[in-house]
Amino acid sequence: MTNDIRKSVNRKVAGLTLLEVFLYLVGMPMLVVLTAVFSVQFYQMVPYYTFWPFVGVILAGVLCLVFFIVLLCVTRKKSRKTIRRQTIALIVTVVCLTFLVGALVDVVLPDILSSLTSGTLKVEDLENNYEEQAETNAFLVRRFVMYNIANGNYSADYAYETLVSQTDTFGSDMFTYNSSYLNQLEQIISNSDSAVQQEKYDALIAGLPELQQEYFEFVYTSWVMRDPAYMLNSPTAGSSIGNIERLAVGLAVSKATLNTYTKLAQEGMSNERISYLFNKNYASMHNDGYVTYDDSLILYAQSSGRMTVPVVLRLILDQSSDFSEDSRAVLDENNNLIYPTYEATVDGQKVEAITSMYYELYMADAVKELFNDYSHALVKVNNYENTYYVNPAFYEDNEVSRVLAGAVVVPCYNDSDELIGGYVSQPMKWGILDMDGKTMAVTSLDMSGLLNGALNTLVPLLAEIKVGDVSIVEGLLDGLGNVLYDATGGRPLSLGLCINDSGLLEINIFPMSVTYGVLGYQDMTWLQSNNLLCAVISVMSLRNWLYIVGAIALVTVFAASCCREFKLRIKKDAEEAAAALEPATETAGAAADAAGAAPVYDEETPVYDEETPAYDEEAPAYDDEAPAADEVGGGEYFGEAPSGDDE
Amino acid sequence: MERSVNGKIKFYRNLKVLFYCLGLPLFVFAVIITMTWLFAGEDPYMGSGGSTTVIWLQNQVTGSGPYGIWIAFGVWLLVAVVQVILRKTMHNRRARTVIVAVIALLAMGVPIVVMDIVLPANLADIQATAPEGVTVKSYGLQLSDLVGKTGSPIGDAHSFLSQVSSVTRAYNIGYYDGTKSGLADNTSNIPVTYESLYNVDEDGKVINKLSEERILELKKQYGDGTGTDHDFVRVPPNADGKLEIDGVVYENYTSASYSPSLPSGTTGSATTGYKIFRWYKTSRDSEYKEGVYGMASYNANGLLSDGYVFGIDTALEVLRQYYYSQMKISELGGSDAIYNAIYAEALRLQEKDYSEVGTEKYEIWHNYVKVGGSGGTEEGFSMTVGKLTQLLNSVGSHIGNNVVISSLLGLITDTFGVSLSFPVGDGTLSILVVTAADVANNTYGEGVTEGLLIRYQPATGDASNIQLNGNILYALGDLLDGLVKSGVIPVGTGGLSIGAWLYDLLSKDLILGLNLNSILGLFGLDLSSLFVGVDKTMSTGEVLEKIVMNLLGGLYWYCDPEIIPVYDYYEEAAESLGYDTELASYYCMLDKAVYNGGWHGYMIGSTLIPGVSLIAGDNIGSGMPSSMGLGSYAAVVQLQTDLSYKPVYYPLYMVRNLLLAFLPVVVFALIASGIAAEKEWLLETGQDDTPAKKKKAKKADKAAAKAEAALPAVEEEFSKPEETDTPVERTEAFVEPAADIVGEPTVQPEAEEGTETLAEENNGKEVE
Repeated sequence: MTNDIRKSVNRKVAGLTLLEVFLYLVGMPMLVVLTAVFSVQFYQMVPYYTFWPFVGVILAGVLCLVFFIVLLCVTRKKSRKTIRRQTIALIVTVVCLTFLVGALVDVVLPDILSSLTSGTLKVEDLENNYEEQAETNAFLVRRFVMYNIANGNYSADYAYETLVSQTDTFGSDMFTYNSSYLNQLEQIISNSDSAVQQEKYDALIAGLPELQQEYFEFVYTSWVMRDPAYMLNSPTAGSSIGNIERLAVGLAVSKATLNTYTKLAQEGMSNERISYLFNKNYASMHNDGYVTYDDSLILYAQSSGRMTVPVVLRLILDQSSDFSEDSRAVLDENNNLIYPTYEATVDGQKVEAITSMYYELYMADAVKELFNDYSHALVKVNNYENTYYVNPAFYEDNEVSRVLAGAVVVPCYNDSDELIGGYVSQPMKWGILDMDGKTMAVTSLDMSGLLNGALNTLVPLLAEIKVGDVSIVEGLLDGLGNVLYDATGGRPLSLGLCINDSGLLEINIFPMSVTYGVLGYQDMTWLQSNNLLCAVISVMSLRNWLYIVGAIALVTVFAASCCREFKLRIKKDAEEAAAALEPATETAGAAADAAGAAPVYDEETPVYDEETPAYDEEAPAYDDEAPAADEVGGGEYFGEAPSGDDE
Repeated sequence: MERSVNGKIKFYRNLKVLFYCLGLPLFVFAVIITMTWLFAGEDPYMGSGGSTTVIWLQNQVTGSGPYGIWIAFGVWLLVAVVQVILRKTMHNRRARTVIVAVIALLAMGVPIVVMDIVLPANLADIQATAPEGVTVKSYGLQLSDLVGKTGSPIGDAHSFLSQVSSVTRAYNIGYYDGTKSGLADNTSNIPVTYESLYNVDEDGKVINKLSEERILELKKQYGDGTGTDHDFVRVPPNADGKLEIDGVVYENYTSASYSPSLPSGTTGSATTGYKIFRWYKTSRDSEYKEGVYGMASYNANGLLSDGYVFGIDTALEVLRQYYYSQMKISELGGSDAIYNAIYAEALRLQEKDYSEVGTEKYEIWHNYVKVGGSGGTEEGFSMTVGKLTQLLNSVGSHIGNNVVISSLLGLITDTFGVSLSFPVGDGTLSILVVTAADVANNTYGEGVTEGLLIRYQPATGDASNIQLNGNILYALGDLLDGLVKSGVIPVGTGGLSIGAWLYDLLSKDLILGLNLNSILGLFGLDLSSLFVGVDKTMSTGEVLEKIVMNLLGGLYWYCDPEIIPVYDYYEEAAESLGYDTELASYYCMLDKAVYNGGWHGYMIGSTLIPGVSLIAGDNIGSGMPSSMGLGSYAAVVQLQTDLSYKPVYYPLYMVRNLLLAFLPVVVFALIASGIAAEKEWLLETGQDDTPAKKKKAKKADKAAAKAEAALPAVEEEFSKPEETDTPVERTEAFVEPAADIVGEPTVQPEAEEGTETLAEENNGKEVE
């Protein structure tokens, strides 16, 4: 073979080899790349879940790795299979690794997901909607964080009540923020055109950091609108955006909380306090809540068309059992606090000293009342720092609203050492609406049409008239709440009453879950296994790519095989040409031509072997023409020897 | 020449495949398509159980829907097996083809014949045993009407599905039933306490009750370390999984373990897994078994469990018994008077049955306090009078003590000087706030508590005090009676209390023979259910209490899973009273159906029997008008009969029709395929001697000559042994394999037995 021919052949072979490599790379590895794009985005939403959002990528990587291992094995030098057979093997591998895995995911994942979420999340919800579900699941954590910032469970300093109480304190952050937002809102409503007002207000909200917007929306709806001080505020005169004082408070609270919320949104469940609150309060909600309802009625409540009036009544009024059985902590003779603990044999080992299902909640007014009016019933315990015990000997349940005898109180003080509230741990009874976690809208009334508009004036006035320290509305709602508390056996519900930003009177029933800092049971369950759900979502993102990339990989694998065939043919042609040009071997070449190409290949095998490992196998196939041709009908792509001869 | 032969071989090969495909594969395909169209995914034709994807797929396969597919595949398999066997054992192709065709004919014909003999006979049996009014179409008509052929393709198969679907939708039930079986199937099946543990001896007497001292010890032993008494038994099971205390095994109890994850300490996020045991009374669990309505989830007392949602079969049986019992009661001359007498006696018998001290029945009854009492299981799961009183007291207490209400009243009376006393009739109606001092001084009489008070002081006689507390109904009754007596309410009650007078009015003819209840009935109102248990001797307070309890009872009631219902004592009661026991048995059937289909159905949102209470109304399912349901006995039994055979017979009809339609097609296709295969083989082996047309023959001769000329070259190029391998002499067709080496290789087949001679003879003649 001349150098020119050899160079030309080598160039072509090198080009085809590059193309072959490229084709393999745009096949299965694309699966990893495409899945990684989503997973990285998802990870940014839930950085505290470490590798879980990457499970899809890991799976894709494993599939890709398997493919390349198979590729290396199938196309190894010692392989005795023809390129055609190798190609079929690779195609079958791709089909198994993509379509079959995809189909397997479709069959297996629905049941896994269903059991993981107690049937509350279906594959159908994720199949083509995993991006939204990813956001929902990421938002679950942020919601939990928001609930526990606003109710003071994370820190008394950021409790809604604490922040609102500082609104009128000159020099405080809240005062500054509130004044600033009030000014901005006043400017907005100074415009007579309501459309412009709305536009400017929307621009103000849109200009806030994303997390502040999120927190504002939550705190305004769930706290400000339920705050007796603001809930019956009519829209400010001339305003089409609502009551600006109320809005300013909401905005100021969200601004004052922004840094903390931003930090916690990043830390999520990796934050020690948030994680502690979740574990402790979820244990209470599950064991003293969900288990209470674990009968046929909760099954009906979850089914469409079966949440009948008798079912609702039974869920609310039926006798039930829970784990804690209302057990309370006690003090020993040295004033050491003994939490209820259980002893049991688990897997042959004695398990002891486990804190019972106490629920922990920050309470401001109740703790202040407790320390002011029931100090005789409080015992400072020795074995825990800054902890008080509500002694049942001098106190009865609910003497201070919602504080039970035997409760454990950790008071909180401000910088001036004034008591501002405290963390109360005690057994909790959970209502069925807490399990649902959603507000039930009762009605929405346009008061302007009622009593010739007199209600428009009267209702806000009710919020202003105070009997003692409480407004009439607050007092009546409290009374109603106490009635419901008794009727439901200590599972409180609240009646919401507010004038919304459009001036409509809204009445709704809402569970205490926002105040308690827990999501609905379904969401809490999701949250408990959120890392696994992240993994499922990540796999679902892979699922669609399995089908798409699978099809692409089939084409690229096939095309890569064609490259190998072309290389083989080029080499063979070159060898033949070289043989024809070699005078010294002319006779031998002619004899070889007459006998067939196989001897020539045999001579050149070392050269081809370097680049085309399968070449060795080609020769026997070529020699044994009939069986080789019989293997696959279309031999033109696979460069069977007889075809080459014809050419 | 060889190209022409190759073309022919290809042609016959394709023809062979084509004809084969037009036979059994096409038949199977047609069956699959038709099955998919008519039955796939439809509940009556699917297996039951489970809800996972895998089980759903399994149900698709195990149901009756694919029966036709199995038969079609069976026919195909049989024919294919015969073909394989013949291929190995018989070398005469023509004979093979004929045998295969005959087998196919039999394989397809026999099922038709069998179905045509068996199914009509079965249908006749169904018709003969079906209740009166049920019609079962003849076999021939059912075959014809399965699918519409004139105009719309909608036939009986679709109509049947549509009817099933409309019934399940109207009653909000599934085709198959569902239950949350086990402990959670009954809402009142809560964990047992130490106090309620017992065993029962051979005489039905309660033994092995724990002493109070031992109970205290056990509570401490298995408590939480704080000394707080925990009522529920927490003892771990023994090695046999039984509850064993002090060496005594308590047999009728089942343990359930819960593994909550609890915080490990008062700080930090660590949790610890833990296991808690609870014990439940086995006899309060439900069991999925055969009962009065067929297979369903029943309690020990024979009633459906709380967690049970009807399947169509159970629902239809409840409805059948409901309508049938009414028919029979009417036929046997039943009346309200007889029913009331039997009911009252049955109540007495039931109580007597459970009153023998020391028996298990007494123990169960002891825990279940009848309406009007306090404590016990019933109060925990229904609105008893005691619980209502407690609730009203609580409401009154909270509202009465509400600082805002008191202050507002004070503001109105003291600040604005407005008197809240009004002259009503000859008396005075006052709105007052009772203070602790008033109670202490007994200012307003006995029983008046703190809070809001509405007081009516007639000119003469005692004042009526109405407070929002447990006494409110009686107080309101007294007030109403007082107002009637004083003439403020100008009604002549004829000496009855106003409540009793209203009750009396319901059944009194007012106009055209209509009483108040029947007049209200014209507007869809039936108040009679509100006055159940009322009699003319009752005071208004008592009547009000009955009305409220009846009203609340329609929303919130209790049925103990162990106590035998009063209906089961009807026959015994009738016997003791001298009434017809058969009539009593139908009253029992009716009341049981009303409870299971009406009350239980209303609770789960699948009301089968409408109008059992004022609140349930004239609705079925989860609020559909009752007119949407099956309104008669005939309609119910017709659907029951249809469901008994159509899910199996319709798929058989479908395949029977297709077997018939494809019978000639399949036989023809198999023969044609066989002939084509034979022709292909003859061509391949060079045995085909079909006379060629002249032109073609000439061309063939020329081609043969060329081939002859080319043969030496080819022979030189390729090795000789191939020639010696061939079993037949070289003919003009024999060049084909050699020339074809480069093109399409053809492996020379071995000559089959008997074909050597065939090659010499006319192939069209009979072989051997």
